[in-house]
Parts: sequence; structure tokens; C-alpha cells
Amino acid sequence: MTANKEKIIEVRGLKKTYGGEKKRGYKGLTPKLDVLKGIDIDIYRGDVVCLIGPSGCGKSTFLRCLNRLEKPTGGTIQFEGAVVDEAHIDKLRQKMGMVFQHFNLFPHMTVKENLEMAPVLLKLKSKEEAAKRADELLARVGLSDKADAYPASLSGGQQQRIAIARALAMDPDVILFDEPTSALDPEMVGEVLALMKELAHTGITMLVVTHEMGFAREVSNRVIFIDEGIIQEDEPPEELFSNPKNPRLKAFLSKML
Amino acid sequence: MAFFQNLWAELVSEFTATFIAEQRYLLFLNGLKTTLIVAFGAAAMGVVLGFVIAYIRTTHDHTGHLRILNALCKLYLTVIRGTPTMIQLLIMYFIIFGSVKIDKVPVAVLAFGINSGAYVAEIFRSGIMSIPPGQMEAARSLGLNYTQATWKIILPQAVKNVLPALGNEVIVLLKETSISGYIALQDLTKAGDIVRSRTYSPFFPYISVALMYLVLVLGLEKILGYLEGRLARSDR
Amino acid sequence: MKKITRRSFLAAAGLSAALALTACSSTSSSTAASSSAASEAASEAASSEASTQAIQTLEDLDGKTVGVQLGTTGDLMMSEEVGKADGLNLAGVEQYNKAADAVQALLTNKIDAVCIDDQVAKNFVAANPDELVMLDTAYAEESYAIAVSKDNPELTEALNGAIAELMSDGTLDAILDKYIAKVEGATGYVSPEGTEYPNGTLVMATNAAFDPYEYIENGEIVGIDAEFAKALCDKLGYELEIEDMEFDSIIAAVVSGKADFGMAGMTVTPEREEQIDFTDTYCTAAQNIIVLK
Repeated sequence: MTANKEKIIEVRGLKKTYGGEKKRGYKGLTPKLDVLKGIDIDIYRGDVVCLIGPSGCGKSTFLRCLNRLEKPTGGTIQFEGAVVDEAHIDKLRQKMGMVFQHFNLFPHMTVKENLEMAPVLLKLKSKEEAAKRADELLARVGLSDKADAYPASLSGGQQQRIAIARALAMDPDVILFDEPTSALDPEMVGEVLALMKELAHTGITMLVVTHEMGFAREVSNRVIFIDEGIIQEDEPPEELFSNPKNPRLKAFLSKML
Repeated sequence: MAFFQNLWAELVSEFTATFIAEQRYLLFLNGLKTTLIVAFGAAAMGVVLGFVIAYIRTTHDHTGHLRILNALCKLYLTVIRGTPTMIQLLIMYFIIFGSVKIDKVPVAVLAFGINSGAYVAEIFRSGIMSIPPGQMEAARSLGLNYTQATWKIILPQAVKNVLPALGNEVIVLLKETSISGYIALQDLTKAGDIVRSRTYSPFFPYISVALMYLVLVLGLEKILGYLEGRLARSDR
Repeated sequence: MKKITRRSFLAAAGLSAALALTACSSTSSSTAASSSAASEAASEAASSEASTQAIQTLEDLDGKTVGVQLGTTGDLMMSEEVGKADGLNLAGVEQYNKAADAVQALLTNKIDAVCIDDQVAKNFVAANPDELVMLDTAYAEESYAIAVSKDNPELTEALNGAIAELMSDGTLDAILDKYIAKVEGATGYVSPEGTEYPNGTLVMATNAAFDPYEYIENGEIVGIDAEFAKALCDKLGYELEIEDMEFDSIIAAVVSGKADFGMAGMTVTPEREEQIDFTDTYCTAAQNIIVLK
């Protein structure tokens, strides 16, 4: 079903190893830990991909490698035809937004300033354009009345909705979600998932690391199961959830559902 | 009754000797002016110097760049924090500016500024390190480069966090300038010393000098409280 | 840049030399014996190379800045002369905490002259014979006495008696022979064996950076005042305890009772007499000016 779509991200042989370096306080090298052992994947425009797997399986690391918040130790990543490397990363990140588990809003700026800052600073939009776009986005996430509030005065769910709006303010082609609901109180999970679901229907490409199996089943078109540092399964959700073949996936799902 | 009258008469005569006779109040006023110039000149220099050093050090820690500058900064911190301020002042006056006829105020500003810079640098560095790494990641994920993220996101928060410690450093610095007398600079403390050496009575000179420092520090605390209040707006 | 650095090192060497002198010299017989001779030679040399020496006479101090030790008679006298048209008309006075600091400031060109007691001036010149010279004319004559609290006239009286005795029996002369005339083999004053101290202890406040009157040698405070005080206390049956402090603290220490008497080459002045009593004078001295060659 993805065959005739445009490839937006191509990952080949992605490896990430922690440790094995000189560090103060250590004799010799720090202990090595292979988190990603060779990931190959293509993501197509419009894909809504959920990444699932047991904790420590490397799914967050994989996501963070895509925009080089973690520097890969091997393999290549291409984004919209360009190699993701240190030299071009700032430019590429403008088109690849990220939403964090802990929101990471800028506490010294108002909600609206959080949204306007990057587009204006990077000269992508004029001050007026950015303000207009911020107002639109705040209306879309239902928080227009919080424009002049500071993040500290918002609930976790509100903060995460602002963080999504902040990512959208850059008009990205892809948004990476790193466990966006894991730090939320249960009653706030729904509002964030609802916003993400709405977003998925606009056709934007989304990669979501999540433990919300319901969201994965309902919203995504691909679910990727990562374990032991490699991709174990890459299937449409109905296939993966109703008929799991991989024994590790079976074990994982039985714990989650 | 007579006892109190005598006491009062003595106080009046000592007060007169301390402040009025030979226009000694001018000594105190000029000393106060010198102390203010030295303290605030040095504070300004220390903040600039400390900021630059903290920036170099944290940039090195985060990115691994600026190796040589970082090593120089560490050497500077070690030397300045490892030697007494008074010795630094004497070295500045008698050795570094040896055989140069030079106004002592800039010498003192330089010595105290260089000294304070070392402490301010560590204050700023701790402030920068106290910002959660998620802030840098969020800024970088929006496409800001390291410098933009540092200036726009990290430093404003860091400065707010370090303001109390910075204020403390300025207060310490203000009082530390009282050793300027060792290079015969007539600051507030030296003014008290000179007057005492003329009246041979320590009470009024020292108590009034102490009060003047106290008033200066109270004023500083007021200003700092105001600044902190303004910067605390975002804490709801 | 290079030049400045080298001169700085010279200055540093000068500082250590000055400190060494104040702190612990004069056992080295060569420095000690030649002290006054050196200063004479120095002034001769100065007059023969007249062209380079900016200040030759007291009148040349017009518009100049003089360094002093805070609270000394030099300080009091020079401070009076600032901007005084019918006097020296000085541009300013810089008050250092130690005489050696003032001399160091002179050596590093920060000030034009230093005003200081003659015997001390001689020793500084002797330590820096290539750089310093003492003006031929003294600025003022003065007499030293011991400072005692106004609340303790008995001690003043007792000290006066002892001073008179020790001056007439030659004890003081023996001390001056040792420290000023520097007579070979002069022993100064040594406590006779079996001296008893039935009356307790007297605390003497001094500023032990004033060679030859009081200075630190081998960790002990020695000098004319120290030895004469010892002789006085022995005579009066007191144990002597010497406390070292800044010069400008001495009178305050005596007034407040922290010390019983102050003895530090202290000149009798009317201002000081308002605060404390002075004993009879035991020494005469002069305020002299030292300048760069």
C-alpha cells in the first residue's frame, strides 16, 4: 500500500553503541552497550508509524538518531534525499519536528513566544506571520486563552499540546513523537492522543514511540516492533495486533494488553 | 545626670573631631566614591570576564571545541582562586604595573575584576549546567544551532537562576575592596583608618564606615530583589 | 613589553631586598657596619650625578607626591603640606600601611619621595644604594617618647624615673652604640641574671617594621625600643610582653587598655598628647626625605 508513495526517510544499517570511550573516573574505556544493531527502514510521506517494544529496546534511541540528538555510530540516514549529518543537521531539523516525553517548553517565554521564537529567529517567517500562525495553532490545539501564560501555569496535557503546536509552528514535513503521553497523568492522556489523531488525518508524516497500543491500532498505518536493537516486525496494525507471529512480539503484547 | 551630660559632650566632641574638623567628612565622601567606583567597575569587569569564561568552559563540555581556551580558563581559575586577593592586588600594583606611574583606581578595578571573574565564571557555569538537557535538545530540535540555543534558551534561564549567587558575589566584592588601602588607595576603609590615625579614637570612624558599607549592601540587596522579582514572572 | 617585564622583576627584587632588610638583616655584618657609610657615599654619588636626580632639595618637592606610613609623624607633617603655598606645596600624600610599601612605591615610580624617620631612611637607602638617596636637609627634628594612658599617671612617673636612671648610667648609650653607631662588639642591653618580676607583666604596643628602633630578627622583635623597654621593665620589676601591630593602632591600643604603653619611635605631638600622656623623651631623631637618584 506504500509502494507508490514518496520516500521521505531512508535508514540503512543504523547502529548505535554507547560507551567504549575514554571518560574521567574510568580506568580505560567505559563499558560498551549496543543499543541499535543495524536498522534498515524506509518511511514514506504521509506514514503514521508507531514504534513499540519493551523498554530499553532502542526505540527512543532510534527516533533520536533520526534528528541526530543521538549521534549514530554506524549506518546512514537520508531525509528528503539529503544525508543527515552534522554539517546539514540544523537545516534538516527545521523540517523534522520533535515532541518530547517531558514537553521541554521554554519556561522563560510565554506560550505564544514558545511558538514564535524559532520561525522568527531562523528567519523563516516575519514577526507578523509567526504571530498569525501561532494564533492559528493555539486555536487548533484549543488553548487560545493561554497565549500569554507561562508554561509553568499549565497542566501537563496543556503543555504537551503546546509542545505539539510549537513543533507545528515550523511547518515540518515529519514530526517525531518520543513517548508523548508517558509523563502525563492518566486523565490528560486522552486530550493529547486526540490531538495527535487529528494531526494524523491531515496527512503529515508521524513517527511515534508509544506504549498506547490503542492509539497504534487505531491511528497508525504501520507498527514497528523493535527488540534487541533490531526491527523484529513492520506490519499494518491490524495484521500485527491480530495475528502476531514473532514470539517476542507475542510475549510483549501479552504484557501490554 | 551629670554623667549623661559628660557622655553627650564627649560624643559631640568626638563626632566633631571625626567628621567636621579639617573637613574630614570629605575624606569619607571621597573614600565612599572610590569604593563605589572600584567595586562596581570590578563587578562589571568580573561579570563580563566570568561570562566569557563560563561560555568557553560549557561550550567545551558540550561540544568538545575550544580545547586550548578551555585549558587557559582552567589555569586562570586555579591561579586566581588559589591565591589571596590581597596578594593579587599587591602583585598587580608593585609587579605588573611596576615602574609605571599609574592611577591606582584602574589598578584596583583590574585586580578585583580579574579576581571576581573567576568566581563569577563558576557561578555562571553552575547556572548553565543547572538547566535540564531537554531545553538544549528542544531548541536544537527546532533547528537552532548551538550558539542560538545557548543565547536564546539556556542563558536567559541560567542568568535568572544565578542572580542570587551573583548578587552575593557583588556584595562580597564590595566588602573585599576594603583591602585597597594596602596600595594606599583612599577607599572608604582607608578613610576611616586615616581619620582614626588623626583622632586616635576608633569609635566614630569605624562605626560610621561600617554603617556606610551596610547601607551600600542594603541598597544592593534592594536592587537585586527587584531584579529577581522581575525575572521571576515566568514562575507564575 | 619585554622591557617592562624585566623592570618588573627588578622591582620585585627591590621589594624582597627591602623586606629582607626590615625583617631579618643587620646580622650580616657587612650591611650593618656599612649602613651609614653607604648612605653618605650615596648622597655624594647623588650630588656628583646631579643631572639625573629630579629632587635635590626640599623646595623641589613642590607639586610632587610623597609617600608615608599611615599615622606616623611623617604622615601628619606631610599631610599638612599638601597644597600649602608657603610650605612644600605638595600635590598629595599617599598613606601606606608599612614604611616598606611606601619605599616600594617610590622604587616603582608610583610616588616622588618618601618622608620617614632618619635612621629608618638610612637603612632603606643602604638597601637600595643604586636607586635611592636621602636629601641632605632633614625636614624636621623630633623627639621620641613612650605613650602611656592618661588613666595611668603612676606608670608614666615610674617610667620617667627609670628613663632618667638608664640614661645617666649609660644603658641607653650602650643600646644606641649597638644599633645606630654600630660599634663593633657592642652588646647593648642584656637582662642581668636573677632579675625578678614581682610586679607582673607590662604589654608594649609597637610596630616592628621600623629598623633600627623595632624590627623582627629571627622571629623576635628587637631594636632600640625593644631593648630599652626591656631595660626599663627590668628596672621596674615587670615582665615585658611586646605586641606587634599597625603603627596607627598603637595609640588606640594604649588608650583602650589593650597595651600598657606604646613605644615605636613615637614622636611627641600636640595632637597625640590630647589622647595619651608621653614620658620624657629618650631619643631625638629627624624626619628625612628619600627620593630616587
